[in-house]
Amino acid sequence: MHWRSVITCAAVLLAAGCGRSGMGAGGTEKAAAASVPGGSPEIRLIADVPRGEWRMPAGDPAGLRYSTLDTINTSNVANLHVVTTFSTGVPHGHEGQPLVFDNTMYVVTPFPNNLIAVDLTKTGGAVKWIYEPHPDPRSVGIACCDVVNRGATFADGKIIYNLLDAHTVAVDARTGQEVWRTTVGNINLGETMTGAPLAIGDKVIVGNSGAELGVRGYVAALDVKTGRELWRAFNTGPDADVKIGPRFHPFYEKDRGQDLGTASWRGEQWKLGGSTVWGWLSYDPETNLFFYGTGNPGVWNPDLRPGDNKWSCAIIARDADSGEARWAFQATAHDAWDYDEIMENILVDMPFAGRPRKLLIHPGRTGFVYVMDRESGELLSAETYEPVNWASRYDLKTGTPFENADKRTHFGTVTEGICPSSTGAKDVTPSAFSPRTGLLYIPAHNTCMNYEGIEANYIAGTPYLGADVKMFPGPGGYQGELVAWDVARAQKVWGAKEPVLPVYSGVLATGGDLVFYGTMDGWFKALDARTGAELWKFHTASGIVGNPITYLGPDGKQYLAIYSGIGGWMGAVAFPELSADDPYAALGVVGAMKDIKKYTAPGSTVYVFGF
Amino acid sequence: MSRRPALLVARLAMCGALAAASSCGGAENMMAPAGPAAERIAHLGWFVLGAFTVASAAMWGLVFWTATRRRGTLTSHMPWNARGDERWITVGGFAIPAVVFAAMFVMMLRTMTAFPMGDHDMPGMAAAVRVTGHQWWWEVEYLDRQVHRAVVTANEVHVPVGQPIDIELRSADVIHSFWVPRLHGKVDLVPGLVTRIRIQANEPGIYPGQCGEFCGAQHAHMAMLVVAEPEAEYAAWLDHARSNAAAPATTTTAAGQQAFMTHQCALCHEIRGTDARGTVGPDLTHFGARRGLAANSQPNTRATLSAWVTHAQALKPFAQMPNLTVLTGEEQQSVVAYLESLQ
Amino acid sequence: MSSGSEHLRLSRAVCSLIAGGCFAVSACGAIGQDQPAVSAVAALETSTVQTPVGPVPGPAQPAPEPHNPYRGRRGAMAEGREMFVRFNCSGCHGGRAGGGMGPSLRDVDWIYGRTDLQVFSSIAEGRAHGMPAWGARLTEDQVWKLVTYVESLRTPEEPDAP
Repeated sequence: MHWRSVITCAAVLLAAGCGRSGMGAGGTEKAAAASVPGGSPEIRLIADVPRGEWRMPAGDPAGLRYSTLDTINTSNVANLHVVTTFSTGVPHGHEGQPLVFDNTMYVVTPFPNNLIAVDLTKTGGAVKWIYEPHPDPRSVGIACCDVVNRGATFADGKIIYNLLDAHTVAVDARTGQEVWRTTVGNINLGETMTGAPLAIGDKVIVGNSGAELGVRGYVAALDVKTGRELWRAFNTGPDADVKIGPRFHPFYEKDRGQDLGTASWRGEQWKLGGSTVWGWLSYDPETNLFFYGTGNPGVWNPDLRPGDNKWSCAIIARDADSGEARWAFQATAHDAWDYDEIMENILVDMPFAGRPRKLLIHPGRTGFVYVMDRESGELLSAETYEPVNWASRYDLKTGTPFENADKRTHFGTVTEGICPSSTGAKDVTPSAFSPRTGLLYIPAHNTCMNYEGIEANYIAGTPYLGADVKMFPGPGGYQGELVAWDVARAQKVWGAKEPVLPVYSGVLATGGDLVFYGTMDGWFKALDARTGAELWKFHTASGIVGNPITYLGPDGKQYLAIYSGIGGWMGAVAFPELSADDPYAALGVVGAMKDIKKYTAPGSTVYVFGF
Repeated sequence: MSRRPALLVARLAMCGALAAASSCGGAENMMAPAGPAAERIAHLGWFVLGAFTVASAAMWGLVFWTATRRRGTLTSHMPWNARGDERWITVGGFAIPAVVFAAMFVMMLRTMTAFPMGDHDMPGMAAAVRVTGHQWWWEVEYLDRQVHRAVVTANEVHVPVGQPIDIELRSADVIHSFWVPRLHGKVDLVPGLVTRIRIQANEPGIYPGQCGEFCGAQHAHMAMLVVAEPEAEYAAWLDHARSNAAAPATTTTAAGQQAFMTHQCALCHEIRGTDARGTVGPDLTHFGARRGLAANSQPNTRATLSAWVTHAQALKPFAQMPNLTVLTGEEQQSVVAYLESLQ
Repeated sequence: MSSGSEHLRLSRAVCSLIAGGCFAVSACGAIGQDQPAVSAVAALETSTVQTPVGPVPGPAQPAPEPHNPYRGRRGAMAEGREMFVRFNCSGCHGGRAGGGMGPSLRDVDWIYGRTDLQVFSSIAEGRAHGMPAWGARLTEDQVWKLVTYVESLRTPEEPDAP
């Protein structure tokens, strides 16, 4: 065995032996590794990255999706092959990623959200147990964008994840018995939960989904032992509901004021204000703050909800103990395009514009990479990673975009050729950051749209939209791209284009200088992290919309795991229940994806690759 | 005079009386203006009426004269193209009309351009009210710089007396036209465009208006009321309009609210402060205080409201409001009581 | 005098024409009145017909079912389309009913059956995976109009086709 992997093995065993259940609470954690082997000395990590296990959605709380494992590297990845496959049994969109620790792989399926524990010490995907929560089937009809689940997290000996019918469950990781199940949201109001929770010390943070149905968004903290709800912080409404108090210091003038969560809405529309939290949460153990982005404001048609509509399409920092908001930055005020900003917020300390800073990196739906100071909430840079025309740039002094008035949408008019489309220059599928290359790897789209504001009507539990949207591929002859973005210099370094379909999977960066991602037509690919050269690919049975992970097996060898099962908002067009002759269907996505049925069909397989 | 002309005169007088009677309807009499815009139009109207009356009188006078004057034999008359008679045609048939029409045209143009109506006339003007035309009712939104103070109602536009109020006009479906004859001319509401109108009422009062552009089956029953009040009362009214709906205070009204939510009323109507948040029909938060229902095609009384709730199609066929005969008599009365209580 | 009586007859004729017109106009109000609006759920309960599940034992005759009273009527298709948007059907089933949160209604696969009564029942009673029971709120008449719109999809008469 290579001596490096011996050391890695030992480190893993040590970490496992410590039996820790995630990050410490209270911000006193100092044991985080500050760098990785071969990493740039100027880049400092704020939390430990995975070195053989995968215990939380992004692998680490700062959201890097990076593993130090390097046995599989640029010199040998061409030999990678399938080691195991097994089926989850649910042919729907497999967003999310498995967890691996204690030689067990944990897989959460799309609705009905079963939890499958696989024994990695045996061959052939040997199932230890399956936990079947039986969520309410009525939730299927109110999930806007396929019945996906973005994964579980491991904390306090339990696997914790959200069910589509707005419950959170905790399952004993060894026995598969349900420990607690908490009702968090109300499906009669159109609320569902599709995101992955984040465990912070003795709490689990969860968020809701449903902005397309006029749901009011929030994050809630549940006690990790009992599931009891400790606090709930809304993203619209009076300051007390949003937990905005004396310690709230937004950096920009536009985000300051009293009760902006009601004052920036007409009447009581903030109660239907969207701003849900269905994407990724990250955590800074040194400041004990967690960060997330909020979804679109309720009702797509902007003329029906005058005002800035706070706090939709915003990035918010909150105290992990109390939920108090510390700062907020609204990326798009009075959103007119469904530019949710629930994307990942990657936390890393590195130099920017000449001096070391504590960064929050957020590749936005809007097509801009937002680089912020995560302590103050200042926007340091916003540059585009795909062609956009809704705005030309951001004014860093005021934090507002210079919008193109022609691309604003309105009631009763068709605004044509808006780039990016509502699905964005990227959607929720998460990027990865490599401390070795200093590059951010973004799974990007090149899709544009026509958008007409039409009449909207609020009926609880039904969509609250008011928009007729038709999408189509953007200019340039490609619709997907894996973009490598140099964070320090705020520019694109290279991109690997996909001609027909967007790149709608998560990304993994490894210490072997490899970048892994999947395509919607089923290819699982490895690129050279520095040059972007495609070094290996394998065609799986169905399109890939999930996030790759890597881990050490019981034999100490490195493996990769990825879901293969098309679905999600853009992938649902592959299902037989959707017709390709209605370009407005699936909230407009059919227009851009009408050929997808030729490229992939639904699937439900977990693939494990190794040597 | 002989018999025939007398009959003719009698008929003319009758027509005139009828015309006068209809235009003296008062409330929508464009010749009785109540605001500066309507005054300008009325001035033009009177001038045109006067000029045409004079011209008509002259013409009819000539007709009578030629019809009644003594005629000789054909051979005793000069041929038609005799010298001098051409002048009747060139002067009376061309020159005078040309001058009169030119004058009228100029006056008309000046009158038309006197009213700011488009964005180019009122650049950056912040409208006070936004009226959106639907088939067949008017959505009225009172705008405010602080957006949370904006309020949506329907079918009545309240304005303070003596102040110009800029109204932004939009359409949700087809072309409508905003026409309050005593205050202003017609301005169309065109889907996909924003047009504007500036109205001002000189006196307190109620000024009814109509949709002025055929917009479908119930175009004729799409009326609106402009209610002009002194400034203080207007401010008080607006303040009250911002408040949420009154909670039901009796068992009947509580039952009515319950029926409202359980049946399909809440799918289309909004009552702020309750769970009814439908936006495709008129806002009913303060419906009880409105003077008319069904876009002012009916008075807002208990009888008509009862009929409207269960038999809207009988009062206004093809309107979006369906017949709700699923309501029992008791439910109907409780809903009526609840709506009446929404003052 | 002859001319006078002529005038009188003429006036009478005109008056009766006008009066007749007035009555006609008011009678027009009666046209287009729907049947007494019954709650759609009640309509299903009073129907004594069972939807056949599979082959029906006994003499091979199709069981009689209520038919869509608006079948083929374009006015009803248009009204159904309006309601399809207004009641947010398009939000789940797609802008032109091509699918999304709910299945496509344009394709040939009818999950719960394609007869008038079966489509009516899907709308009125709701279905297991989140289709609301609209019959609790809408009248029978409104549901039949929605059925008419759904049945018009992919035909030349489809209102507002993609």
